[in-house]
Amino acid sequence: MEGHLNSGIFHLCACKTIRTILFCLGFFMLIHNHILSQELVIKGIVMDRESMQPVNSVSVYDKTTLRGAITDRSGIFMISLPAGRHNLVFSFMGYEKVDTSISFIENSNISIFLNPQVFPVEEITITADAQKDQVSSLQMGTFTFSDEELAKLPSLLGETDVLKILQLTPGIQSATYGGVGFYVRGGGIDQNLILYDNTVLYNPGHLLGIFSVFNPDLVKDLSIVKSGIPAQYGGKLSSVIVVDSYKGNQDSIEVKGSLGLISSRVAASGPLFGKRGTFIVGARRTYLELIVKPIVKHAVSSTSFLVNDNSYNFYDLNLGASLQLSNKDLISLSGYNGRDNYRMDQANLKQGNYVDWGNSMVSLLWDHKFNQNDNWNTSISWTKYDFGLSGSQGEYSFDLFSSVADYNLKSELVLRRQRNKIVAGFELTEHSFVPNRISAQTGKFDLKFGQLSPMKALEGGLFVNNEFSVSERISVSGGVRLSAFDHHGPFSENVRNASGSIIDTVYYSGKESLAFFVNPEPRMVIKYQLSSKASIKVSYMRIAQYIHLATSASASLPADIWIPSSRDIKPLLGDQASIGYFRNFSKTGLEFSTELYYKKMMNQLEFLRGIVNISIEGNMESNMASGFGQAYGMEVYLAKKLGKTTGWLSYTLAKTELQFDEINEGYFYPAKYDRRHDVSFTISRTLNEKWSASAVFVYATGNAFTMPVGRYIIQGNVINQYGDVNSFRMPPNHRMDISLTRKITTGRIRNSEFVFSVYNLYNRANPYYIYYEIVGDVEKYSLKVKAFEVSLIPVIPSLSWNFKF
Amino acid sequence: MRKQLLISLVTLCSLTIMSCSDEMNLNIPDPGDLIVVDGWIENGQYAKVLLTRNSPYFSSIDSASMRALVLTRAKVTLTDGIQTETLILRKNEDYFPPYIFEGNEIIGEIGKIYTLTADYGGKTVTASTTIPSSVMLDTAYFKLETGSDSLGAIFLEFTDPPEERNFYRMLTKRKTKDPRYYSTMVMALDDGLFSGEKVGFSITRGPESILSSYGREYFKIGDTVSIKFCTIDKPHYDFWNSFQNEAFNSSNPFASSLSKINTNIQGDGLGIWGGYGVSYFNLIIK
Repeated sequence: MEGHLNSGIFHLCACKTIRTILFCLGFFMLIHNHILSQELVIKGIVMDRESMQPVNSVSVYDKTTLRGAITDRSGIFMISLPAGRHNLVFSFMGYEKVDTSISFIENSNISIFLNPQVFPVEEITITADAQKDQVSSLQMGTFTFSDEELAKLPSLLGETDVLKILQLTPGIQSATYGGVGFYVRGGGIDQNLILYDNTVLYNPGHLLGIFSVFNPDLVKDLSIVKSGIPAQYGGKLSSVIVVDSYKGNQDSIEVKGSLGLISSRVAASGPLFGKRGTFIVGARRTYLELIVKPIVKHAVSSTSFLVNDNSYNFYDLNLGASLQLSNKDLISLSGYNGRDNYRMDQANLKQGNYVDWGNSMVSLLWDHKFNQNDNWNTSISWTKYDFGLSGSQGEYSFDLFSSVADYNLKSELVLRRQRNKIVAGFELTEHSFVPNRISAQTGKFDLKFGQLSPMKALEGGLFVNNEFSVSERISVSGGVRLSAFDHHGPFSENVRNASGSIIDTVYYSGKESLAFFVNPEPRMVIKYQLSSKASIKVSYMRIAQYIHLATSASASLPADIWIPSSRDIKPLLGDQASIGYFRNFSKTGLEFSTELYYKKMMNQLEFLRGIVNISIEGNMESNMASGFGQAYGMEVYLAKKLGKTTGWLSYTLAKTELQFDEINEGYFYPAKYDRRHDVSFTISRTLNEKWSASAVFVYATGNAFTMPVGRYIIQGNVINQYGDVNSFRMPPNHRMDISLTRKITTGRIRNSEFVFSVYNLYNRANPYYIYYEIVGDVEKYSLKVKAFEVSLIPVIPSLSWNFKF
Repeated sequence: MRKQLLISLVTLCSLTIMSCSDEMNLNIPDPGDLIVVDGWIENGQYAKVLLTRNSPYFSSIDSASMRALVLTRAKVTLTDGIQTETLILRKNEDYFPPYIFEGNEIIGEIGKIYTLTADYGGKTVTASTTIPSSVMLDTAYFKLETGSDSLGAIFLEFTDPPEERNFYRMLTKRKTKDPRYYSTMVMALDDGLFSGEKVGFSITRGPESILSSYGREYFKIGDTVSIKFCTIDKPHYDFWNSFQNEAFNSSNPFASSLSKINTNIQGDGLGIWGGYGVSYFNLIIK
């Protein structure tokens, strides 16, 4: 009760504070509009001189006024400058810096061409100018990584995983230690919109989330937005993760890859249609079973019911291509297919089990430039995730299948005008869900249950967002997304009487709507530039989420199922307000930021009796509870991005609590992933031309869990009496990883490196789950209960050879 | 199926990376002093009630501490709305713990409501249950497990009454082998999936003691098995179903953390007071 009251006060204070700030900023706006009248708007495009493709995330910085801007995904930037001569610096990793002096007497458009660095020894170092990013950009709660930055970080099992890197930034917590599933500011793992080349990937994990589906050699850019998410993104409450793939280069055939102990990968890219296009193909395969199987056999031999014969593997296939149709039209294609296969047979029990799951996607993107200011992006895509489980034991067999598949069309127009950058467009997604289709055979009886007919839904979004500078100091990014969701036919539904017997079946045709929702979603970020090196930003966003992940576990499991909003399941609604202070120290190359956030989540779903029961009981609604969640916290980020030693420290102080009438007698309780403290520290150092080293340290408060406090006996069974929901804590989780890279610049393959890494260096046994065992002799009435913690992933050294030729 | 899904997931998880498990010490708060009711009444029988207290989770169980848990000095009364009787404590080694309060006036009848009250140490707990109409098995037969020449499961077939919501429990007792009826592996069943239909499924024996791990306990050629097929009311089902879920999930990393065992006991109590509408079927396995 007390927790509820306190958080209510916090909420009230946060709202008041934000109102006050908005009022003050509004006041500033009025003043500055009068002062500033001789400002010019300079627009430009930054291109790669060789490929003639736009380059995004380029830092644009005026040495005279200390103002800066960043290019967007179309390579376009806009900066407002007083008339006169200016010294503009353009820089981005992997390119030679351009330092140019230009006079502006009126609003102007300029084009800048960057030369790629031939052998970028210093590619890793971000120049001082690039640090304008966080202070001058109109986004908050945002982190961006390039492929070069990613390449420097320590690897787990021979790979640098993009989703794991995100977990090292503030406000993002891993769902399972070492896994790719994550929680952003107290939102569930299903509240992250993961876009790979503009296409949603529903389950980005392999092997219970130990690996992500992203082949590191194909990742070009990675970014995450946690607050003030622009209106062009919607459908997920907590974050947007954009992963853009590398589409190859126009000059020559290039082969990249890695040979490792656990998995290997290779990617080939090169020019297409003369030099008008590029292509890339990539593949990755694990052979984990060859190594782990003997160990598992040894490790679990004492546990009788486990294991007889297992096999496990996963693979990824990637395909990408781009084609410059004209100097105004660029088309790019991207495809992905990946699958996990797992088989387990127990000959002694005549049991066979087979589990497989995977994602597939294809997307086609067309980028048309009307002129230097305006462009139009349209993409069509298809994505699918499916999960299957089948098992048999003697006479008895069953199959479980779950899938979600989407067709998506998204089109947006980007217009750059005097002090305004307007993005407007629409998005349409046709979903098809098979939440859980189950059939079981036992003897001569054949049962079919779960949700048998697919559930179809159309999700739409209409959005407009405007970024504009109100004055020299104040910039605003504001927009609105109007989202709608229609659960429609064809659909058949059984009508049951009070006793549960099916008395009728109602059919809905393809045009009929079963449930319809519409939500306006305002979004806003306001930046107040304190100086060229510091700014304050506030943001607010409302997002509606129409699809839910029915999850019962702390891990992101393949068996979690996606279900749409329907008559019985309301859409999830989230409101988030945040305020942040951003500061750069150009002399020392330090970057500092801190953000406070408060997030409310309405219509959260909980599954009262676990996912397996949802399937068995066939009646999802009776197993579901709808409730309220709130999360608030403070994030601190300190990075050093200059020099031979770089790295960052992030710290999050957070609280996430939930309230459901059906759970914990209606009182607020901590979410399983409520972590009070979360610290991560990343450091990389270039030792010399050949050697570099890096290390990561993470520490987080243990997960909350519910524990039995007592027990009693009913009909000879020992039954647990539980304490308050999630009132116990696992021991804290911490570990350190290191990696050492040796570049090889001689020999036939001139660009290769050996990466030696150690995951969990000091072999910390981080608890994954806790179980209890009753030991003793029942005949002698002598029994004892013991608790055991199970930890996964001990110290793992790995060696891989990365090559490029 | 649940078991197989669990096994698959747990094994997959183990396969992921070698796992290790360590014993841990946890400090847990006092569970409070509660009266635990383990009582039932079936048509044609007197009520039976075992009364114990709860104990801290990590306390050890031995015969002395077990006896200390039995509330032999409690006052237990039963009423069917018309008649009221006080149950009498008897020693009975067939039960665990071996002290049981039994009625000798009120005999269970289908359709009636029975209210139980227990007083102990200034605390009072009450509970009510009903005895639903019983359902007869159409047939039961034995089938050898593939590859075995003597072990197998029993297949039951019955017709679920279409006009009502039904909940079932099944217990078995092997003549000369078992002192009392034991629950089958599946502790409780809901007709949600087969309401009004003729259904069939296989049963195996449940674990006999709290130490038996789950594994399929088969019936054997030569066994004479008495099958006790029971209908129960919703609160009674909710108890067994929640226990079944919890027993299955408590050591499962993939389970929900919202475990809670239902009870129909009111006051400072826990447990279940349940009515059974019973029909019997005898099967001689040849």
